[in-house]
Amino acid sequence: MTYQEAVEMYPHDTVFIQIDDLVRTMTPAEYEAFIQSVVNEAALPTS
Amino acid sequence: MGANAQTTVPKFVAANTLPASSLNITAGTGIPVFANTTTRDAAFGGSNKALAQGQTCYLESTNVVQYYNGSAWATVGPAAAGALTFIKSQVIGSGVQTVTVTNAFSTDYNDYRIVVSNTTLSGGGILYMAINGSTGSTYASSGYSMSYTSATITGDYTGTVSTGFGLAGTLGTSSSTCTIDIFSPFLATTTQTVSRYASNTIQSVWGGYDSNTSSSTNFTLDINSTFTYTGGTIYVYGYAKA
Repeated sequence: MTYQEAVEMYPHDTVFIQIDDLVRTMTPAEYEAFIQSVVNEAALPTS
Repeated sequence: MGANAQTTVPKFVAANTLPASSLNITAGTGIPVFANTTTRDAAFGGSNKALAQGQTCYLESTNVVQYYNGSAWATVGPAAAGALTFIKSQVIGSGVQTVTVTNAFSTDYNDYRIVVSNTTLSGGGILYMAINGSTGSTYASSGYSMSYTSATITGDYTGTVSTGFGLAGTLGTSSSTCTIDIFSPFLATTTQTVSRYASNTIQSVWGGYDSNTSSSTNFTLDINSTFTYTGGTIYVYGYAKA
């Protein structure tokens, strides 16, 4: 998956993370890392 | 040594004066209180009070009540702390990509049991867990999975990744439960995991390794990044060191 495809598939305001009791959208840096992980995971075994 | 602790067991004989301090400590505590087993044994070791069957005491060092059975001290209670001690729990929200649990690991324990109970996953893949002290591509894991309707065993591996320990593969999307034993995450050494996963359709057993020796306090669960968790609870327990 390309970077642009990942962004289109997972818009920023639709991706939530949880830290203890707090559920929130990602910071820009977290979202960037998330999108990058989506792109990179195409190379990983996924079962 | 606390206010009730004593270092001797007085013996009174005819014509002795009974000081208020001696009477008060007996009346106030009911049984003799000692700082530890050393002061207990010293108090009963002299000529004042011969240690005999039925003697009781309280030890401040371990907060237990003991009795002497004629040959040794035995603990009445409370029962010794369990080998597995609850640390914290975290209810999982709805549709979250990752779940981070903070302050799970500390100097109190070396090894931990994490239980992920009855959560629903939005998709399959590999379930990962990262620890916050580890950075870079230092994790490596492998394991196998079996459905409940086939004898076929499916092997999986992560290679060396930064995503985290692989905990399970070929995940089901139904009610999912996973137990994870993680070894030495807080210590400045390498860390290992052993995990078991089951859903309503499949089970999985994995082991993993992190060569990064940095100390961690938090962990984060992730499913190939693109799938989400809804509901369920994460429980964290510590294995007693002794």
